[in-house]
Amino acid sequence: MRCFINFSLSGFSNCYLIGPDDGGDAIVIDPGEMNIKLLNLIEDNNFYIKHILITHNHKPHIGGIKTLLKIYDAEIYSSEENILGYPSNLIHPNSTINLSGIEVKVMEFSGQTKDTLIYKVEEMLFTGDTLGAGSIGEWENKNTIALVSQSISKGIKKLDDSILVFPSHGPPSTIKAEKDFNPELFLYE
Amino acid sequence: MIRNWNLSTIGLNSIILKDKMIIVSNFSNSNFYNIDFSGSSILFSLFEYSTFNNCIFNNTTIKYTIFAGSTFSDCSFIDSNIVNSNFNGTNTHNSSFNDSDLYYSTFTSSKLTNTTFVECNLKKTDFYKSERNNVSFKYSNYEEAFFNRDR
Repeated sequence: MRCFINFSLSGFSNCYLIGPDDGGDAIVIDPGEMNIKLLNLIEDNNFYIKHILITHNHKPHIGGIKTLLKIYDAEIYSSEENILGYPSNLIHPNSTINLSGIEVKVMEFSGQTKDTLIYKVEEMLFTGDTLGAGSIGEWENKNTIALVSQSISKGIKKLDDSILVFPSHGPPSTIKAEKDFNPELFLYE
Repeated sequence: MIRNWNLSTIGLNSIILKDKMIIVSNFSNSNFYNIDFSGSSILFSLFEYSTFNNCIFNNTTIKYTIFAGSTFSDCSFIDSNIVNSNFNGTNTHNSSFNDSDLYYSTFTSSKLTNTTFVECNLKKTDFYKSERNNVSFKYSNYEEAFFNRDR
């Protein structure tokens, strides 16, 4: 399996492309923008976008859906039944879906909302805005942050240190680095 | 080109890796002494919890690479393009990032001593909870970097 990162200036967000080594049906996670670089990544690797996974319904992570669907006959998967007016397959935390032979574990760490999903594919964790390198997502107030921090801390404790963390914004990380250096985790234990 | 190599816990001494492409490779928990990486492109690679002594990264392109928990002593990252890379929890001393673009890279919870970021692009560079001792940001747009988080 191969994984590629495509940075979008629209919303300064990361979009991820996952597909088999020898090409074929592939998954795009959070396509904030459909730009020529993403198109070249897809085509140069002989991928066909069959599945679009959305961590959460915010513009920096869904802006490219319309163009993607003009080119590829893909299905959307998210925590909502509708994204940008397109039907979306409703998926739930603590479930596993099989997308063209790629097993995707659906998770949720924040404890505050079921709208924001995390996807685990092999040893890669696509965390959306829930967990970034050295940070957690933006939440409404201090009380919420405390609860979210507790909940994410509990969630990542169960995961192997070697798992790679791929957030929607900023650099990648590992579970070990987040356990060791994320100043917003393990504050309330 | 070094691609898809898994060399974690390796020890490298006085090797020239100039103008190389290092892609999707794992060098975590390794020791690098007197290594010249200048002119190289290091992409989507893992160097976490490693030690770098007297290493040169001048004119490099480093993207989506993880150095978290590493120690840098007497290292130079001058005139480099270091984008979306993770330096969280690093311990850096007597080193220079001068004239570099550090867009969206993170130094959260890092310790920086006698280290310079002169004439750097620090837009969205994250220094939250970093300890800085004799660090210079002269002529850099440090107001566009993050030193605090308004929660």
